[in-house]
Amino acid sequence: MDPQTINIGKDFHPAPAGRTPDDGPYSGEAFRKRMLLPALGNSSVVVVELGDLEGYGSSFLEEAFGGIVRDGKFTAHQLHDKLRLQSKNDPSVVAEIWSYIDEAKPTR
Amino acid sequence: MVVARNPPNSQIGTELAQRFLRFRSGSRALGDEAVALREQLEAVTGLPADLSTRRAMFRGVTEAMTNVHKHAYIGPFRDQTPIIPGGWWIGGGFNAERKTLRALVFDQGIGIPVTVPRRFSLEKVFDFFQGRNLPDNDSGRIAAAMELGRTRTGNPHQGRGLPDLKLLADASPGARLRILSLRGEYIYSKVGQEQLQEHPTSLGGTLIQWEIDL
Repeated sequence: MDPQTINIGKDFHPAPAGRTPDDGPYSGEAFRKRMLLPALGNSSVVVVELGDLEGYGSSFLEEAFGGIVRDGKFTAHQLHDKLRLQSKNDPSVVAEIWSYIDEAKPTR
Repeated sequence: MVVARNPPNSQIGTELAQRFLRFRSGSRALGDEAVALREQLEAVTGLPADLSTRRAMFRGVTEAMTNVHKHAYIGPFRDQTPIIPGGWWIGGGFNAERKTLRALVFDQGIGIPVTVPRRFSLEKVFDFFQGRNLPDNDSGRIAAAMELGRTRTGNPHQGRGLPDLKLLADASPGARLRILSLRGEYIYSKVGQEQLQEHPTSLGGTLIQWEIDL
C-alpha cells in the first residue's frame, strides 16, 4: 500500500480547535475519526502534514493523536511504525504529538 | 435581553490613544474566531504578529474557548446575574501611547475556582496548597489549576488547556497573563512569575487577559 498523506489545513480545516465534536465542528476527535483512523486502516504509512496553520491547541492535538491509543485502535508502537508527522516551521508540535501518543493509555 | 452592548457602527472604536475591538461572541471552540481576533489586533496595531505569537495566541484563545465549553457552565450558579449559557466573548485593544496590546476572553460561568475540585484530585489540590503554603481561596485555586494542569495530574489526558494560556505570556519579556475568576486574580509573566490577589467582590465569571508590550 502506498503512503497516504493528510494535510490538516487543506484536507480538514485551516483552524481546527477543541477536543470533542460538541466543543466545535473541527475538533481533535472529529479529525481522528474522519481522517486519521481511515487512513491508518488503509495504508501502511500515513504522513500527516501539520502545515502552516495558525496553530494548534493541546486539546485538539491530544485528542486527535493520543485518542488513537486511548481508544485501543493502535498501540504507540504501531503508530511509531505507521505515522509520519511533518512540520517545516514548527518541530515542537511534532514532539508534542509524540508525547501525547507515548503517554496515552488504552481505556478500551 | 441585552447583557452587553458593542460600540456602534464600526468594527473598531477609537478614543484618544486607546483603540478597542468590537467584541466577538460564541459558544464553542471556533478556530476561525481566534484567527479573526488576531487579524483585528493586527489591524489596530498595524503590525503583523510573528509566527510564535500567532501560534501562542491561537492556542491560548482556542483552549480558553474549549475550557468555557467543557467546564464553565456546569452550574450551579451562586448568584442571580443573568447569563447566556455557554457563551464566551473575545476582544482586545491597543494603547498607542503605551504601545500595549491586549487580548481577552470572558465568560459568565461558575469560575475556575469552582471547577478545580472537579478537574483534579482533592489530594493533589491539597498537596499543592501545602507545598506552596497558599490558602485555599479563589486566587490560590486559579494557581492550582495552572500548576496541576501543567503536571498532568487528575484526569491524565485533560487539564492541559489552562497552562496553555501561559504560552503567549512566555512569548516575549514584556507580556503578561492576567486571570480574574470569581474573587481571585492571578497574574503571570515570564519575568515576574506569579502574583495572586483576592478581591472583595466576585467578577461573576472568568476574564482571561493577555497584555503585550510591543
